[in-house]
Amino acid sequence: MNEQQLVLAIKEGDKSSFAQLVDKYKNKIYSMAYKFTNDYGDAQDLAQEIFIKVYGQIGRFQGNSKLSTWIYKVGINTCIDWKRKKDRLRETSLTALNLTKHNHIITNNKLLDKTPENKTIQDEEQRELHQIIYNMSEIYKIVIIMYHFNNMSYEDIGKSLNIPVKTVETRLYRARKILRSKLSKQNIFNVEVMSNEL
Amino acid sequence: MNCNIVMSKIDLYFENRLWDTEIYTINKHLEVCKSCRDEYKQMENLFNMLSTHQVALPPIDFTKNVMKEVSNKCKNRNRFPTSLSRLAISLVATGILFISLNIFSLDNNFDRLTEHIYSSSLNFNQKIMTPFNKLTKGLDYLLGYWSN
Repeated sequence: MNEQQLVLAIKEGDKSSFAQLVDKYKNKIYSMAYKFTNDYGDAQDLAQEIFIKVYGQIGRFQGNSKLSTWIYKVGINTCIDWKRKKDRLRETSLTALNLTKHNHIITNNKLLDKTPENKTIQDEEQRELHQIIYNMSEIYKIVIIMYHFNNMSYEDIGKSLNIPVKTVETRLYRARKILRSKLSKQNIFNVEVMSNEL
Repeated sequence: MNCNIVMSKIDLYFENRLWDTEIYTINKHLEVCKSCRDEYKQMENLFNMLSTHQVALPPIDFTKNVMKEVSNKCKNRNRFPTSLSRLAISLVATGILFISLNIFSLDNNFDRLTEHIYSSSLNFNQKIMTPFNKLTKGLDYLLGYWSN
């Protein structure tokens, strides 16, 4: 079943076709959600929410772009909304409890380190990379996820975010610069550069 | 090619978006320039890290859970509104059908249509008022009878 037939079947209410779609995109969507939540349970809820939105809005998909581009667009928008809601909630609770942001982040990291699921990311460097991407500002995080993890082209990213291709290029350039600088600060690059030279 | 140009193109180099001649020139520059070579290695490491980045995998029953949620949503959506919306749609469609039939029966003549609407409303008004008029007449008759 090709993409067009799949969409048509889903629009006609075929649930098994939608299950196929979920199976195809679940890894990318879940991974994207995890980059915004930094928590496996929240990522699962968020990814589920994204697919429910996809199911509800598939009638609006006209086929003007690739299905994957459209799904990632729904995904990114849902992640951004989730993050904003979460930030608002956190601000409110922080004000109420009179806690500093610094303390909150440390608590989160401690909790994260203790969760058994976190063992999935075993490699220290990969975990550092995940943390840096998680803490990046939205505009850079989104282009990194879309280009490097979802393998989207500049054109598709531009269409998804309603921004010119040139802006995508600039954001990616800056995002990589930030990544390189942060990874260097944590001595991850230095070790690798040395090992390459040996 | 100088260092600034090489550095401005290093992203494109790893994205395979450069011409062969540009790649050749950059490679030649990297052979002789250590600072650019270090930058190149950092970028190479970054691209390697990003391409081999371990993705967080969803639980095995993820699809099953999503489908369960989708079914629940569909059930909730279909419980009352579908039958009600069907009834509403039928009523609206019937209304549109009647209006169209009325318009077509008057040969699309706007003056006749407005005249028809006006006379219909008068007839309708008269139909409502007739029993009240009869009642009033009856009451007048009774009052006249009692006063006599």
